[in-house]
Amino acid sequence: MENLEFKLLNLTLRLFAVSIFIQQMEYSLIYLKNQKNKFIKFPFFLLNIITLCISCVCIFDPHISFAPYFLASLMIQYYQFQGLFNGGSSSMSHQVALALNIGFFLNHLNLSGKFVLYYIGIQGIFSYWIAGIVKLIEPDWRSGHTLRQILLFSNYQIPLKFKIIAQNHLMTLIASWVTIIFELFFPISLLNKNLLYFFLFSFFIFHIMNAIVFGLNRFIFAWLAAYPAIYFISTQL
Amino acid sequence: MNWLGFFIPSWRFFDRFGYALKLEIHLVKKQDTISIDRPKIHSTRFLLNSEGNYYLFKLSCLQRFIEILQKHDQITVKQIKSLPSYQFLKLVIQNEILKKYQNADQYFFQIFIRTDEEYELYYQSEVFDWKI
Repeated sequence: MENLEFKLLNLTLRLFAVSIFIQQMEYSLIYLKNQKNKFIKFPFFLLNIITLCISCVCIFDPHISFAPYFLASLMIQYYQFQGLFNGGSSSMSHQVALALNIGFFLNHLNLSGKFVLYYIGIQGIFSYWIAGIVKLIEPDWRSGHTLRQILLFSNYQIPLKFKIIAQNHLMTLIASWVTIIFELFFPISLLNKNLLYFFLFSFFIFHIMNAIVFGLNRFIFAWLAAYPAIYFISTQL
Repeated sequence: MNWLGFFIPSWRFFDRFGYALKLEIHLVKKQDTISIDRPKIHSTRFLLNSEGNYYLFKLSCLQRFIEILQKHDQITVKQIKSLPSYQFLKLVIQNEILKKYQNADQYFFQIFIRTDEEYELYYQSEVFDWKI
C-alpha cells in the first residue's frame, strides 16, 4: 500500500473511532439515566462499554482489523433501535464501517486501501451533493421558507436567539442559498487542492453550527471521518 | 425490520420541512398526562448530547409510525396493532410512563402534528391495560 493511502486510511480509522466513541458515550449515558428502559437493557449497555473501550484503543492504535467488530456492534444497535438512531450521522457511520470491512476482507489483495478510500470518499461527496440538489429542486428551500420553518417550528432543540434570527426573512434566504451553493458545487472543489481545503473547512464549520443550532453533534465526527477519503479522491484526479 | 436502511443511505437531508410532532400519554385511572418534552439545552451539547439525541430518536419512532399510516390510509386497527413500528412505539411510551410510575393501570396515547401554527390531533390509540 502506498504511503499516502496508508496515512489516509489510518486517519479515517482514527476519526471513525472518535465518532463511534461519542456514540457509545451517549448510549451509555442514556442507559444510566433510563435504567428501567425496556429496549436499552444491560447487555446493550455492556456492548456500549466494550465498543467504547475498543474505539479508544483504535483512536491511539488504528488498525483495520477493528472494522468487523465495529460493523457488528453498529448492526446490533440498528436492530436494537429498529432502525437508524440518529438519521444521517448513523448512515455515514454505517457506510464507513461497511467500506472498512470490505477493505478488511480484501486485505490480501493490494486493492483494499484504495477501495476503502474511494468508497468512503464517493459517499462523502454524494452526501453533500445530493443534499444540495434536493434543496435546489424545492421552491420552499429556494425562497428560504423551509429553513425558516425548521428553525421556528421543528422538534429540534433550537436556542431562542436562533429562532429570533429566523424571523428575519432575508437571513433565512441568504443562509438557504449559501447552503445550496456550497453543497451543490462541492464536487468541483475536488479539481483544486486549495478550493477543496476551503470547502472542507467550511463544511466543518457548517457541522459545528448544526451542532450548536440543532444539537446535531454526531454529524461532526461522522463526516470528518470521510474527509481523508475525499482528499484521496482529489489526489487521484 | 427493514435492513435496507442500514446498507443504503439517504442523503436527502432536510429536503422539506414536513411537520413537527408531539406525543401525549394519558393515564386513565391516575388522571395524569405525560408528554415527551424537549430536554434543556446544555452548552456542551456540541460534544455530547445524549438527552437531545434520545429525544430526537423518540420522535423518529413517532415519525416512522405516522409515515406508515399516511402511506396506507385504508389500514385497519388490527393491521396497525401488528405493525413493528407500533409495537416499538408502545415500548417507547411504556418507558416514558415508567420514568414516573411503577405501572399505569390503563393508558392511551395521542399524536399531534404541527404543520403550520398549531398542533392538530392526528392519531389516538385505544386504551391499553398495563402489561409488562
